[in-house]
Amino acid sequence: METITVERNTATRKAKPHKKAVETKKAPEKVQTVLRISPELMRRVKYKARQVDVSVNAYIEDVLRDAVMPRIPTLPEDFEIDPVIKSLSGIIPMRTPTQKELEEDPKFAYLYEKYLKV
Amino acid sequence: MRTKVFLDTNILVDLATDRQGTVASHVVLSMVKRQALEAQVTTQSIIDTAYIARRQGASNERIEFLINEIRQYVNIGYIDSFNIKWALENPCGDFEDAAQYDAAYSSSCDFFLTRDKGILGRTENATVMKAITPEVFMDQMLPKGE
Repeated sequence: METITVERNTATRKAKPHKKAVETKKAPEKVQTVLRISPELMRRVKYKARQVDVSVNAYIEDVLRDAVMPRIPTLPEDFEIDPVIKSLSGIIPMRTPTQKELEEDPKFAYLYEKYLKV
Repeated sequence: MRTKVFLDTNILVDLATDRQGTVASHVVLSMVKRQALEAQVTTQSIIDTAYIARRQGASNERIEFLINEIRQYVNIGYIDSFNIKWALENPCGDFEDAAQYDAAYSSSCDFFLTRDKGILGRTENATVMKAITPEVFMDQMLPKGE
C-alpha cells in the first residue's frame, strides 16, 4: 500500500459543516488528510493527473468533489408541470383574514404572518 | 443516487395557493413525481399547511387531497430530540427554522428549498446543504445553453 496526503476543504470533514457556515463566513481553508490506497491505483491517479496536466492533489480533489456534489437533474425538453400537481393550486384560498379571526386564533395569526401574508 | 431536496413549509403553501411566483415549486414537485428528484418534508410542515388551509376556508376534502398527493411522492420525516437540541443551541435566531433545517440535514438532504430570507442568508456559505429558493433550483435544472 502507498500512503499519500491530500488536501481538502475543512468544511467537508465537519460532522455538521452547515452549522460552521452559519456561525462564520470566513473563506474555507484546506486541511491535510492521509489516504491508504494500492500502488496500482496510485499509479493510475498519477497517470490521469498527468494526462490533464494538473497536480495529483488537484486531480484527487476534483474527483472527490465531483463524486460528492449532488447532481441536479435537467428538465426534459418535453417537460410540463404535472396536471395533478397543478391542480393543487388554489386549495388554500388567498384571502385576508379579519382582525377578529387573527385575534381569536394566535396560532393561525402566527402561521398566516409567516407563510401566507404577501 | 437522486438529489434530495427538503421542502420548507412555505414551499408546501406555495403548492396549494394560486399566488404569483409559485411555478418553480410546482416544477420541483413535478420532478419529484417523475422520480427525478427525492423530496423530504416534516410532519410539522404538513400539519401547519393543513391548519392554514382549514383556517383559510379550504374544505376537508380538498385538504385531504392535498396532503394525500404530497404523501404519495414526498418522504415525511419528523423533528426529533437531536434536532430540537441543536435548534436550542443554535445561535442564529428562529427556533422553528433551525429545527426544520437540522431535520433536513439529518435526512441527508442536498438542498433546503425555502423562501425564508433568514435561512437563505444564514446558510449562504454552507458547503453541504445550501438553502436556496425554488427559482434558483429550477434555474439549475434548465438544460445548459438556455
